[in-house]
Amino acid sequence: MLRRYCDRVAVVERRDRLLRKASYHNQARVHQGYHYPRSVLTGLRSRVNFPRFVHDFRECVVDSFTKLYAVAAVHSKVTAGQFETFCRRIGAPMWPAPPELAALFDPDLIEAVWQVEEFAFDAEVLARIVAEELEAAGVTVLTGATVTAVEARDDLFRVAVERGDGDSRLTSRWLFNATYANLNFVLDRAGRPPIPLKHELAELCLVEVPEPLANVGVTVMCGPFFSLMPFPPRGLHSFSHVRYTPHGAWQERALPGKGGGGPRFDRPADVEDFALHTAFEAMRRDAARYLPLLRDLRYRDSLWEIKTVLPQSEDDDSRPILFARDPQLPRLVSVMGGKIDNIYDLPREVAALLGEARAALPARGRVDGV
Amino acid sequence: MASSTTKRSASLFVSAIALSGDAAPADPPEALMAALRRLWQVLHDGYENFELLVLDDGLDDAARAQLRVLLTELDCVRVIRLSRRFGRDAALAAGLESAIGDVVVALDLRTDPVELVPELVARCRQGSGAVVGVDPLRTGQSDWEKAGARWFYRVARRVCDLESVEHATSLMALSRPALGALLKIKEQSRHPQLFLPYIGFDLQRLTYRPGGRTSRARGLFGSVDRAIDLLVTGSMRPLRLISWLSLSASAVNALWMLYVVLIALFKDHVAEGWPTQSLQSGTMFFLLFLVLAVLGEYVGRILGESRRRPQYVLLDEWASSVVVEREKRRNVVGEST
Repeated sequence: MLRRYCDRVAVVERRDRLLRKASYHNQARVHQGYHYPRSVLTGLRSRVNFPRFVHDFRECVVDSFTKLYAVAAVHSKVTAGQFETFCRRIGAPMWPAPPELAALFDPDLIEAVWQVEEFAFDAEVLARIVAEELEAAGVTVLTGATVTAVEARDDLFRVAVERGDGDSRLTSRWLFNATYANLNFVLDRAGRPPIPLKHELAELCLVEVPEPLANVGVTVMCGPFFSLMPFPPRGLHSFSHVRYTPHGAWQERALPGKGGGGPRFDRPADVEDFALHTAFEAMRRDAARYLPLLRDLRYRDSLWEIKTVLPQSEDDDSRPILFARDPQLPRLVSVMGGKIDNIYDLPREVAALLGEARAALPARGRVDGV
Repeated sequence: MASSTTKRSASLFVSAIALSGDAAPADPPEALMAALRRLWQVLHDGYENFELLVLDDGLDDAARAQLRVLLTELDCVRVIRLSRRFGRDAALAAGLESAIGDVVVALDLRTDPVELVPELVARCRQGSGAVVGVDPLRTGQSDWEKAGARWFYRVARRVCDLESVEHATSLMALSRPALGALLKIKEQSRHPQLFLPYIGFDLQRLTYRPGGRTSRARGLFGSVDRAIDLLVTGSMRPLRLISWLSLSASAVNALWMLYVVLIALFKDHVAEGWPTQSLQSGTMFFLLFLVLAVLGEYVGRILGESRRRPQYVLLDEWASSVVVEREKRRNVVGEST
């Protein structure tokens, strides 16, 4: 996308490969909006982007399983009727679950069960596709590289990058900070105040499911419930629970001095900063009340990640994309989205930003990415 | 309190439901927080996996503010807030429906010693059913309350055929299977402990003396009210008794009518109009009580259907060690029919 407007683009990736952090450590869900009954806009954008993602990244999409959504009878923030109405409003398809699958749920705790069209994606395949596309577009990808300093001078950014094989410096007119949980670390390197963000240390369990659920994904809505999805890269299911997946939370805000809890800005935040103890047993026991078969889940592993959302998402579970230009350094743009299809909501913002910039240049000038 | 060298149970998940009692005035929040911390410590010392459910059944703002602080200091704590004060039984039901543990313990923080939790859990696991705290001395209650309780149990047992745990306190522990069976009974949310004998699981009693304030300060009318509620919730026998009473009254009226007819036939000096009037009123009351008896039975049937109480509770299933079909049988028949 940036390559359309900039002659040279470089991606600085801290890990040794692309899409190995938050893009991998999640339930690998290709959203079609079902997950956001209390935020129509988030649900609608997911539904609109779904067919496009499935078409563009067909190779990584896994659709060979049955996906069920259920609404709980107690503690749910929406009723079955409200959930159905929401899905109709955003145009997301749903139909009654097959009786043999609906019968697996506890009828006292589950109000209704539907089958929906929601797929999973293989993050490793997606990473390969993305790497190939970047190479074809002539984008430079620096892996194992950490930004250690950002200096803004003479209309350019000078970015110091630390790598295993030596340090380097990049010079750029534009700097897009798409570092997710480390957004404020990079801003701090640039001497800029933090953006208000909420972080959670999240655990995603990888489990073996009992045979009747081998090709089934289940999500129970809408409150302190759970979700079970095929996790293609490991041949297991991922298992998350709204109550037990977060192992701690903190906020980053523009407070006097540094603070707000959590890892400080002097280094990138990572899960290694925390003591990690799985909450699988609590998750399994609670989930088994709604779907008794889950008592036979077998724990295999946990994926840990720092999950980042905007503070305003706390009330309605919305997932808007952050696209924020720094007020003092307008060519420093912080970008953050929490869903794999968010990329389709950005072209207009990027075009509006870089299209203007290109139009504003004198005839001889050009936009240099690097 | 367990020492740091005591091994914590790793395979068991214990849920503890902390009730704050429903007598007024409420204790100061500091006392509640101190009790919660002690309970948390007992759980932490004894079990690798546990949760502490705090029922907010109409706590005041000061207590809630302190609960929020507690949540930032102690892990594995959940606060379940009810929209208003619903009373102890409703709060207990909310806790039971939310607990996820293999063993679920409930206790009133104002009166029940948190140190009893490990013994409750151990006995519950032994019996795989339920353990209920009992206080035969009814600590803290007045003489008339004790007398009233004795009468209640007598009426419950003899008149309503209702088996209850006599002198039960708020302290109890349930295994997951027993809790599952209890939750299948729709009306259990009104008085959860009332149905423990009905579900039929192993039921043990733990005798102890509650501390703190135990009197509910309901007053005479409040206590009678609750007693009637318990009897009506737990038993349909009163309805059957009404049916019997109506049938009896109907039979008496039938006998009265027979008496009137015999008098009219065989007595010489009968007041004019008396047989007719007596027969008319006798017939009316005969029919009225008969209708009441029949209606009472059908109302009882409707009540039974609406409650959808399980007709039986499955405890276990045993099977023979050989379940595979005998392979040596031959699938050959001697004729075609």
